[in-house]
Amino acid sequence: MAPREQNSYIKLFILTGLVILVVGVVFAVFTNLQRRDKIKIEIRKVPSDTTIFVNDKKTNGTLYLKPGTYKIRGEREGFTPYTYDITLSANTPRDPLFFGLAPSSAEAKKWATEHSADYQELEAIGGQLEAEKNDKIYEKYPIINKLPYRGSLYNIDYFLNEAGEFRVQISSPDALGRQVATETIRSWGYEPSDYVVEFVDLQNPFVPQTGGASDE
Amino acid sequence: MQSFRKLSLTFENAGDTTTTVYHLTKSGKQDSEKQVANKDQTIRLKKGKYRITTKGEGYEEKSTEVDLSSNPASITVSPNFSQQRLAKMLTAESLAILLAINTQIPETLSAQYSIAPGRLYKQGEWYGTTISPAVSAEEARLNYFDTYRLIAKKTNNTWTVLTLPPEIILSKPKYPEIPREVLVDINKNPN
Repeated sequence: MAPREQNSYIKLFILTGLVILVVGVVFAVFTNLQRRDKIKIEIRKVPSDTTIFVNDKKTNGTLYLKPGTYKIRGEREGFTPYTYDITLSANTPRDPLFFGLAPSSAEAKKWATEHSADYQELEAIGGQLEAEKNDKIYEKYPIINKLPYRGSLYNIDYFLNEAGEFRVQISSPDALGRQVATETIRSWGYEPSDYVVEFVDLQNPFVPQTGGASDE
Repeated sequence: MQSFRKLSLTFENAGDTTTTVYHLTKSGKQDSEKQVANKDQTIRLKKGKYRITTKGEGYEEKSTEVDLSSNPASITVSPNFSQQRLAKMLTAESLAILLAINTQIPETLSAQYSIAPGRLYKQGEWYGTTISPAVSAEEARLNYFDTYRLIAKKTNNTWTVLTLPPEIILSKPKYPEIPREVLVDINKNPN
């Protein structure tokens, strides 16, 4: 090959490399920008060709969604569709969504029997994630070890809201029960200020009431 | 083997306080001391336990213990004003604070509620109080009433209630910008 021709090949090679690099960078920046401020949700599904819809819009692969409320549905012919109603908050990681669709047609039932290992694997992953999540919650909120607690004047329990935030819940019909419940938490060595405490059966007089009966 | 450890000191609004680092013996007694200037710095100290004490006129004396036996440590010196100084400041601020509360929580204007005098915290920039139903002493003795709490902050000479609406328990996860010590105290305090 003549040196001139060889040079042209090298230039073409470098140019192609540069074009690929630029396209790659642009794609990465574009993808990053598109996913900015969005929450990642992995989807695990059996059968693996289950179609996922977000608010009735067909999607593919891992979801990146802005904070808000969504209906996420998984469906496949011959199987019973399953829908999650989820609310996403900013900066709150979201667990994967599991779609292990139940077979409804005879053909699907046969398929499910032949692929029972897939369902078991999905269940095992879900169980493991749940266990890891519980361990983390126990570590972060040791008060759980004391809950639920039933006192004579009050009950103390906990729950995770839709955004996965931990809440201590005190239910008592009167102010005395609420005060004693708060003191009980302190007597266990926990500081109520460290938790968001919600009082059931209590209308905060400083929160405007919505709805209700109108004057006639 | 290295026999020194680093102690990083950060000063926040330390004013004219004096900070002294005391070495502690195994029985917890102070046996030597070193006064440090009120500027962010890292000092080298022999391995062991130390007590860092900050005091000054008009400030609450505050001591923190650190163990430099195996790891370096960081301490933030952020002295609070004394209770007496804060109480004096509250007298001057109470009208402005009440005005802010009445403006932001109009329910407090009604004769139904009574706002406790409350207290100032830190260096007087934080304020906490309780709101309860305005009842007679006799009624208060016979019945229990829910006490609601609020915290306000003074910024650029203006008081603003940060915890809206007032709640029975104000929580750190909900109000991360409010110092924990302020939340803990107001949540404990019935008055």
